Amino acid sequence: MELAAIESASRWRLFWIIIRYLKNDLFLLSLTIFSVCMTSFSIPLVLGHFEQNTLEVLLYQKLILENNLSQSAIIFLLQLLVVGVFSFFFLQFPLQKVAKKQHLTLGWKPALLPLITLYAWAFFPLIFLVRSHSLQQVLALPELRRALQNTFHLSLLTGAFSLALLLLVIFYLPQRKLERLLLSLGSPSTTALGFLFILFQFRQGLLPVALCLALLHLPTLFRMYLWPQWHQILQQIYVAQLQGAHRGFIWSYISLPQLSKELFRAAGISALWASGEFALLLLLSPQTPTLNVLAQQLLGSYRLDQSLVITVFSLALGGGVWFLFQLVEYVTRQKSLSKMG
Amino acid sequence: MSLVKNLYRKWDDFSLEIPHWEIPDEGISALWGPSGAGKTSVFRSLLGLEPCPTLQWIFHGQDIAKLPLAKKNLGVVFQSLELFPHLTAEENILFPMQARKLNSEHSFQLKNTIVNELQITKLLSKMVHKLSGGEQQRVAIARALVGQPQFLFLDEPFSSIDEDLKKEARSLVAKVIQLTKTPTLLITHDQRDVDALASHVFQIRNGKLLL
Repeated sequence: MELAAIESASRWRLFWIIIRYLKNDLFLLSLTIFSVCMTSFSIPLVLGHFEQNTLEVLLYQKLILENNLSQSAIIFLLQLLVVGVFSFFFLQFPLQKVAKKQHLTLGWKPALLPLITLYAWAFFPLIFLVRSHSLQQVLALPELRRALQNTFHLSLLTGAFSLALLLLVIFYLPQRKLERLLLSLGSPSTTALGFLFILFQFRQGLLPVALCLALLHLPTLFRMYLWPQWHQILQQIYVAQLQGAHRGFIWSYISLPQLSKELFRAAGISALWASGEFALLLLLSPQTPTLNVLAQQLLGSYRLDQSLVITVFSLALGGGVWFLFQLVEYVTRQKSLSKMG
Repeated sequence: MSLVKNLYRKWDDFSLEIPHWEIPDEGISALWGPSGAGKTSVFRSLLGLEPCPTLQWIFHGQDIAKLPLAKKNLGVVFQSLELFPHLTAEENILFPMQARKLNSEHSFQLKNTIVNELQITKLLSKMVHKLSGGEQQRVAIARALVGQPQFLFLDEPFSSIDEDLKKEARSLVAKVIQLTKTPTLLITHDQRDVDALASHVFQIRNGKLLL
């Protein structure tokens, strides 16, 4: 790039150089976004009517509201097929090229994601926050305290479950099949996974919701945070294996110390996402109010300003839990450093 | 003598065809050839890092190719060294001893001898990322040998150090390998490495060994 600039390349020319350089990454990102959107549930449910729905909302309608198992199964298979075809291209074409080169350049810092999300989404609700009577009305809501508590617990639990699942994943890696599964799966269907939990009668309280959310977040978190870093230490893991180290030994001496930052960052993101969750709660535990369930109820009764105030609360709380996870990681790292010193 | 049989692998534009290869189980054998000849593919296949279902590697009556990585009892120094950056030089060196539970007095004596021979005693307490290229290379050699491997692999071990230091590095490595009597396969494209270290030379071109 510097060379091109020195040789007086025009802005347009530089732009095309960047595009050609990033084309694999852009393709990867667009496929990931496609597969995530394909199974997205909450936003189409809130914004769209049932007449103009997505496959995921249609699945919800058929499976939960109409209890039509045969049609649900066909929709589910169709959804799997579409995501599967895209996953195939995702694995076959750009990912292998990137892996061959052994360096994954996303072009943006995942660490900035929570901050960007917070600021981007907090901007509009803030306009309503300055209208003090909305804030006062929200503070006077009798169910607010319980909703705050539940959201905090759900967020914390989901982060903890995600951390545990990711720890388990890096314990079992390198494992070709597991790696392929996590890389190819866009995100499991919210409705289908929720229905599975209902089928096994695992649906009371926040615990099943948090576990289900952690499972939903797992492939995305792995792809975004863990896989690039894990790939960088893969050769070290091979060296350790050749030196006779077993899984547990490698996990505690090699992987964990070098991936702890990414693990806690991913767990924090999962906690942040969980703070904005309401779709799974409606499926699994509709009697448990959280801030976003409250926001949805207020939205339903056209109290838009109050609903947005609650959304800001929810984002702030999610951000707080994200920060808590980073703090725990920082303290743990400092402790282990002082031990080594 | 160890025997490598049926080392066949095929990629889109390259194939590896080594039906029969006898590697001496003493001294340093060199696998020498130009870039793109297939040296690294042979190295990775023998280590078990690349899948090669047809491969057999008979050593001391056992087919090492069929064993999982942790049971092969091999030592390896990659071109990129792959030291553990979050550990000190000593922690790196002790890693294989801890992993293989080598805690006898003899093991610690051997470790001290190797460390002395490679002249890295003063570096032990330093974090490896603070060491120079040559120092890191010596730590990697020590780490590969203290685990008492039955076979040592060196993949272009001198490529990351300055020309001035290469001569000294070669003689240190030769000395310490002779001391531990570990059979070694040196993978290199540099004729000077071969001249200075190898007791047996195998040349590879286009994925085939030249006889």
